[in-house]
Parts: sequence; structure tokens; C-alpha cells
Amino acid sequence: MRKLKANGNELIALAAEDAGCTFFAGYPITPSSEVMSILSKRFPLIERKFIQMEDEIGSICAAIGASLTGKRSMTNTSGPGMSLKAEQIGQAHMAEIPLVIVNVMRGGPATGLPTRTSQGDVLQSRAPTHGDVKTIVLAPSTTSECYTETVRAFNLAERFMQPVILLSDETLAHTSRDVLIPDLSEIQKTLVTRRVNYLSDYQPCDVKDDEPAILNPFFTGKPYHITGLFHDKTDFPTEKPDLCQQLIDRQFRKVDNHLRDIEKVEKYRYDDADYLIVCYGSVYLSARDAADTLRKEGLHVGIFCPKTLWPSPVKRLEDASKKFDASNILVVEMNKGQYLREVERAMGKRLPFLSKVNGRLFEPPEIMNKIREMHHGV
Amino acid sequence: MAYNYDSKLRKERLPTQWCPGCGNGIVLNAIIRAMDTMGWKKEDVCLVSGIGCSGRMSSYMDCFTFHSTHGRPVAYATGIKFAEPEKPVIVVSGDGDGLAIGLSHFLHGCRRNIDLKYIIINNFIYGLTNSQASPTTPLGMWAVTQPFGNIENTFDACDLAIAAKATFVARSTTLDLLRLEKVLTAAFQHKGFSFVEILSGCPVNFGRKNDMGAPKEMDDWIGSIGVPSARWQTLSEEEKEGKFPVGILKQTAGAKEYCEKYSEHVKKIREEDHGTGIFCETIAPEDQENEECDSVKRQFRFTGVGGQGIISAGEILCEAMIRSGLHSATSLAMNSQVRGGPTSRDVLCDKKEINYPYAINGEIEFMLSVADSSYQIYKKGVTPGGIIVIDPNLVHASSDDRKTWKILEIPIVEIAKKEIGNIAAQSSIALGIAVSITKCVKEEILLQSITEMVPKKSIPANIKAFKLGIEYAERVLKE
Repeated sequence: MRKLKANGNELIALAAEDAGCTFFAGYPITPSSEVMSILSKRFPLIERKFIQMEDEIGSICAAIGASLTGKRSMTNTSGPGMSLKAEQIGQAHMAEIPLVIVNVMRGGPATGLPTRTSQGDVLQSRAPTHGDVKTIVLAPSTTSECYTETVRAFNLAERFMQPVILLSDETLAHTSRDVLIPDLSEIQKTLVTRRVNYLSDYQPCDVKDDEPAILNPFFTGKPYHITGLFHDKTDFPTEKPDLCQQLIDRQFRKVDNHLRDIEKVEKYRYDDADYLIVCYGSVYLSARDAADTLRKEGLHVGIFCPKTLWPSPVKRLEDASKKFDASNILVVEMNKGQYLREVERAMGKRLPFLSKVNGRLFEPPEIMNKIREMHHGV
Repeated sequence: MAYNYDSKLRKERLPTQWCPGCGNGIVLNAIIRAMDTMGWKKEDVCLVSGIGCSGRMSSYMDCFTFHSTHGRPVAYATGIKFAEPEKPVIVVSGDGDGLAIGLSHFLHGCRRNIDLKYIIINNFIYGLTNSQASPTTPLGMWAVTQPFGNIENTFDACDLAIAAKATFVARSTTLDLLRLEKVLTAAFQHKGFSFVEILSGCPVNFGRKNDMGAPKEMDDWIGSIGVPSARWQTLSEEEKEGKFPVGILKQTAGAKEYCEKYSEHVKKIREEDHGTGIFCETIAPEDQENEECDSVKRQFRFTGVGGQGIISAGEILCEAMIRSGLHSATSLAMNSQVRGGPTSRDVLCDKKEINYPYAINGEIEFMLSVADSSYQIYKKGVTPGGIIVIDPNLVHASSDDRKTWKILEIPIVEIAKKEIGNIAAQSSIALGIAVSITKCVKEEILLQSITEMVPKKSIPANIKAFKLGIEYAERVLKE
């Protein structure tokens, strides 16, 4: 393990380097800009590619373009930039091009609260573009997870040949602290290599019905075509109804049939808990302190914290639903209930909810008071 | 002799979806001939297209092809080219794709001088979607969205490219095949952003609807508006109206291409001393703290306005705490004003791992403030009886404040100006004061963190500032 002093944005940049990202294209936006400014210095010094594009759309396009040549590629942004990148996120889903998109969340909608924290982009990250896409969205909940989840994002992108969104937030981005992260050699052992196919009958989408397309790096093997139109196994456009249906079915199935490789949940002091906090992202930090303090008061509080937000851990939420009464489960979010509905859907019941949308992280006592109220049946 | 296009066409995709009389097929063939002249192999070439009739170009050309999104092919191609600078990358747009929705990427590609071969097939209309007006639809002409005749002024694509500093700019028409092939070959030979506008007919969705009933009439019109650049010079301004010079309009030799420039830049900075560019401090993993121990959390706050060194002071103290074997976290609260906005830096340390990274309101034992705006906002975080150090020239503590907290006055900014001669040293003065009063870390460890984290040239000033901070604090404490 390595012990560092770092903040979340620094660790995302370091993780990109360690995960073998060799191409970065970005556009400045608070509070994610530091990822970009760090890489603007570091990447040229280690002979990797860095480019600041003319806008948010240009930056995701350039990153996708580089990914077509086989490079691990990343772009970063915050809420307004995410909205601007929307169409190209769909293009990368449809054409099955791997990419890591970092969204360091700030208050929204619109220009919102540029320097303050938020979890307002959670629903957007599930459906960031028009049409049906099965997104993979990771949310680090501690500073050190900004590193490990970024590495995981690169691996999932390469494995499933699609964009992976990393949802960080301003609190994680701008808090420096001591962190322990795995050694580079350990990370390198885990890196997923993109599949290639250099056989003479190669066709990019000639794959099983739950596997991603195989896109050889451009300029290697047999030339091929890719498109954002509905396409058949040759990757040329088709409008045949059965082939159109199969394409989107396959793009959903490649994720749905491999949930075990994608889902990740941390359960904290869960087994003996009477009360359960469901939260993610930096809210977890407040919830940890709240749970620990309440335990000293004799209230057994545990935490259910998904690190993969989408696809949501439906099965595990169902299990939690059997263990805890609805009145003993508290969902805590810095938005108006964007994940609450998903948790309720999975659990099949309405749940108590604690919400905040003023750009400030919950103080632990705010969560503690709510649990105490639940305990006393207020 | 008939030219054989087979080696670079996807014959199984033919016939094309383009309408009879469309100029796109002529452009496709001309691109193939120019590629052959260059000796480019299809395995080495990438063609990116946008959306529109021209977007289908990528389906028929047998090389690595990407049918991208509306207006963005130049941006996608920038990523491909920058990632693989040795490979030729051709981009094809229409006038809607390249001059309306995608104009920005076009101009920035020119400015960057990245070696893309950018072709805009200008047919003066949105043909694919049935005749909406484009930025090149001539004044007075009919379009489905300008049904009474177009009233909007037009763009001249080559003028735009020249203004945006493209290093190669040319124009041809689909009627002048020799010139078309010649300018495409010259564009392909040029190193740098190479722009070619091709005036082309859309007999079905433009000509037919503008009193040019047959494709031949459409072509005659295209032929009439493209004027060879030599003859262009002889035309009066009136005669130039509605016409365009064709030929190579600009070619700058020797301008540095973007990818080459980047690679030379990389080589140069790697030879110079810029350090490693590594951005997180690695700290030797000493004994990990025993998580079972009781919490001894301490909470400190530095406040000022943006630009006063509040952020760096917090970072340095946090680092020193970690070096001292403690867990530490430092969080930030700022508004969206770059300079002058109230800013607060919380620094926490504990023997246990820290989760919530902000100080809890009412629990802060020590705060230092060098701006009244932030003092007034953040003072209530300090525990009653806690210490607040203020710069008395900048911060105004009320008599009630003085009853609630122990307020110490040190003119930090004046010390930085007069005794150090460097306003930026105020963060180290603040650190000296903080360590002297709170004893949160050993002075020598904090000094080590300062010398490692401030810019090299200002180390002596910061050491002096740190020591002055300690002296002033000791003096005030005695009083």
C-alpha cells in the first residue's frame, strides 16, 4: 500500500495514470478542473497525450476518438458539462467505445452552486442521453476510493466496451487527507485488456448475445466501419426490426448478465444493526460518524453504501429489505430523492428520507437526529 | 484508361444511397484518386464523417471509417489524429454539419493546425432532411424553412478557414474534376490543417425547388458560381456577388503542425527541469494508527478571502499532521468568486481515522481570520471560550465576541508586508501562530512541510514568516 496526502481530484488523476490512461481531453469546469490541470503537467512529462478542447462536446469527442485507436481515454467535467456531453455519451454507447467520464458533482440545475457539493446528477447519470442505454456509474464514497473506483472505471469500460461514469463530488474533490492506496504493481495486475479479433472473418458486432462488440484499435487488422445508427453484426446501418431489437437487447444484456462483475456495495456494521442508513458518495462520511456515535448511545446503526450506483444492487437491496423494517431504513441524499425512488422500488416499500440541496454536506448530527426521531417514533 | 476504384470501395455497400445527380459520388471518387496518388493504403487511413448526406461517405470508403455525430467529426478526428499522428485522417462534412452545428470545431481545428484533411461538401442546403436553409443557402433562394426566400446572410467557408489560420485552404466544384483531384492531392500532401470546400449540386432537394428543373441546370449553376482564382482577381465587386474563387486560396509552408509541436514540446520539457509533475506527496507508511484508540479529534479553521493563502496554509498544516503520525483532513468552503470571496479552510486531526471532513459547528478550538467577511460568517463555528486570532486591521470583533471567545490580535498582513516584504508570506505567519498557540504539531515538522510545499524561491521568506508568527503569538499570549 502507498500512504499519500491527496484530495479526490488528485487521486482521480493519479488513478488515470496508474490505470494506463494515455489520452486525456477536457474542458475547464469547477469543481473538476484540477483533474485536468494536474494531467496537463503530468501527461506531457511522461509522454502521454493531453489536450484542452474548445468545449465540453469537443473534449468528449476527442477522448472517444482516441479510444478508437485503442488508447485508454478519459474526459472530466461537472454538471453543466455533463449536459453538454449528452449526445456523445449516447454515441459511445451505441458504437460501444470505452471511455471514462468523470463528473465531479456541484449544485445544480443550471449554473447552480459551482463551488459547493451536491449529488444532483445521479438520475442524469442513469440516463445521460436520449434512447435506451444501460449505464455503468461508480460513486466513490471516500477520498481513497476516488483512486480505486477510477481504476475500476477504466477496467469496466474496457471489459464492457462502453462509457463508464465516475460520480465524485465537490467534498471529495477538495478534501485533502491521508490515504492508503494500492501499490502501482498491484493495480497493474488487475488491468483489463481490450479484446481484439484479427481473424479474416472479423466483424465488430459478431459476438454472443450478451457480450460487447470487439473493436480492434483503428489502424490494426482489417479496416471496418462504426456508426451511431442502428447496425447489424457488420457494424453497418440496418433498419431491420429483428436486428434493431437484437442490438439494443445485446447492449443491455452485456451488462445485466454480468452484474456480479459490476455491482459493489459496502455494508458497514450491518449484521447486528437495527437501523440502516442507505447512502453513497461523500454522505457516507457523515453517515459513518453518525453511526459510530449513535452506537455509543446504544442505537445499533449500520450503513448500506453502493459504490456502483447504476445498475443498482437490486438483489442486495431486497435482502436488506427483508432484514429491516421500512420504518428503520433511512435514505440520505444531497438531492430531492434521486436514488430514494430506486431504493424504494427495489425494496417494494416507502422509506424515511433525509434530503439536503443547499450545497453543504450533512453534518453527522443531522443524520443522528433523524435516526433518534425514528427510534422514538416521532 | 478507366480508373479502378475497387480497391478502396466497399463494393457490397453499392449502389450508394445518394440521389441521381448528387455530387457526393464525384467527391468519393476524387478522394480515392487523391489517396492513390499519395500511395496511402486503406489499412493506414481513417475517414470520419458527420451527419447529413455527406455523412454516408464513411460507409462506402474502404478504410477505418467512423460515422460520427452531427457537427462533431472534426472533434472526433482530432482525438484520432492526436492519438495516432502518423496516420492520415480525412474528415467529410456538409455545409450544415461543418458550418452550422459544427462551426466551432472547424475553426478550432484551423487554429490548432492539426493535420486533418477536412472536406466540406457545400450543396447550399440540408439535403438529407428535405431542404432546410443552411448557412450557405444564397440570399433569396427557397428553402423549406425560408419559404419566402432566404433572408439570412451567408458564410464563405474558405474565408472562415483563412481567418481562423488554417494553413491550407482550397475550393473546387464537382464539375471541374481535374481541379478537384488536384486540390485534394495538394491538401493531402500539406502537413497541417488542410481545408477544401467543394461546391456541389443537390438537384433533388435544392435545384429542383429553385427553378433548376433538371440536374444539368443545377450543375450549370454550380459551374457558373465557381470562378478560377486567377480570373476572380479581374472581377468587380458586383460581379463577385454570389460567386466563389476556386483553386488553392492559401498555403502556408513551414507552419508547425499540432501533433509535431506537441511531440517537440514533450521532448523539450522532458529535457528541462520541471520535476516529475507528481502531484500527491507520498508519505512513508509508518506505523498505522490503532483504530481502536479513543478519538482525540481537534478542529481548526483558517478563514480569509480568496487569494490570501488560506487554502495553502490548510494544506501545509494537514501534511505536517500526517507526518506527525496523525490522521488529518482539510476541507474547503469557498464561493464562486475567484479573488475576494469568503473562504474557509478546516483542518482536523485525530488518532482515529477521520470521516466527516469539516469541522463541526461549535466545536472548533482555534480559528484564524484575516478578512472580516469570512470572520463574520465562520466565527460561530468556534466553541465558546475558544481562541480566535484576528488581524485587527482587517477584522472587527464586537465586544460580545470578545466575551464569547478569547480574541487575540496580530496584524498578520502588515507583518507580511513590512517585515517580510512579501504579502504571500502571510500563510506561513498564520501557521507559526497556529502551531505556537495550539501545539498541534511539532514546530520543526511544520517547518519541514513549509519548506517542501512552498515555491523554492520563497522558502527563506516563508521560514522567516513562520518564525515571526511564532514570536508574535508568544508575545500576544504573554499579554
